[in-house]
Amino acid sequence: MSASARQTLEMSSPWTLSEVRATFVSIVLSVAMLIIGWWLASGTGQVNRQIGAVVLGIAAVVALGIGSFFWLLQGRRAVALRQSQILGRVEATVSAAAEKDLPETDLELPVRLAESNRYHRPSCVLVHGKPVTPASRVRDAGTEPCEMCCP
Amino acid sequence: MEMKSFVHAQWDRVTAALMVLVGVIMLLIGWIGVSGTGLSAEQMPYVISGGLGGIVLVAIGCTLWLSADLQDEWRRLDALEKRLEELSRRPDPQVRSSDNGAAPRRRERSTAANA
Repeated sequence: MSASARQTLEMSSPWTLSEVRATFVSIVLSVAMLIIGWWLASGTGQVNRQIGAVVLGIAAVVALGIGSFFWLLQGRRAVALRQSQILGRVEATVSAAAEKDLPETDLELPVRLAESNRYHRPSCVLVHGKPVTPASRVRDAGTEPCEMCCP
Repeated sequence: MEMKSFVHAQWDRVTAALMVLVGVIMLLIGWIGVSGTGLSAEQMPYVISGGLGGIVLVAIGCTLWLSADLQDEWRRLDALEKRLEELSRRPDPQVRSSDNGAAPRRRERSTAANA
């Protein structure tokens, strides 16, 4: 298999080429053990010899189970790792987009006049040139947003 | 035609279902073979071929089905990553509008509230 084909396989699937190989080997090995076990058991009438063949068959099932378990475990791990990487990128993209969309005034704290219970953007015409104090956006604090500048 | 395209698109799940089906049939054949004789020496080959063989086929089928689910998830992540790359490559609209001499884009929420 060429290097580009290997890279394509590893990019388009949660498993690496070595994991695919290992699982394939475990399946082939267990099927071969099962066939050999059946061959040995059916070729003799002695139960003590057949017991060995049954043990071989059980070993085949165990080998297949271990191979399948690690196959699924590696796949699940790869998907979870990629999910967390993509989530990180989504968060970065969303926060970058949010920063681009926000005007500069949104990053500033709202203000209010001393005698008023309305809070404004610092650039609002209603507070322009007047003495202001920092205000809270929380309505429970007894303040309301200005209807002109909509802070 | 639809069946053919379905099998082509879902070959892994179709194979998995077939393997589970064949595995269950093998288990049944094994049980019939074992119950049909009282001699242990005649029962053993059925235990291996029908019983253990059936279990192996069912296990491979289940693994294949779960692998198909993981593969689907991986493809969805591929598509999401591609979409994210497109979004991050998209030029900044504020820079573009400033280049044209127009005013920077206003936030839509403020416009909607004033209206």
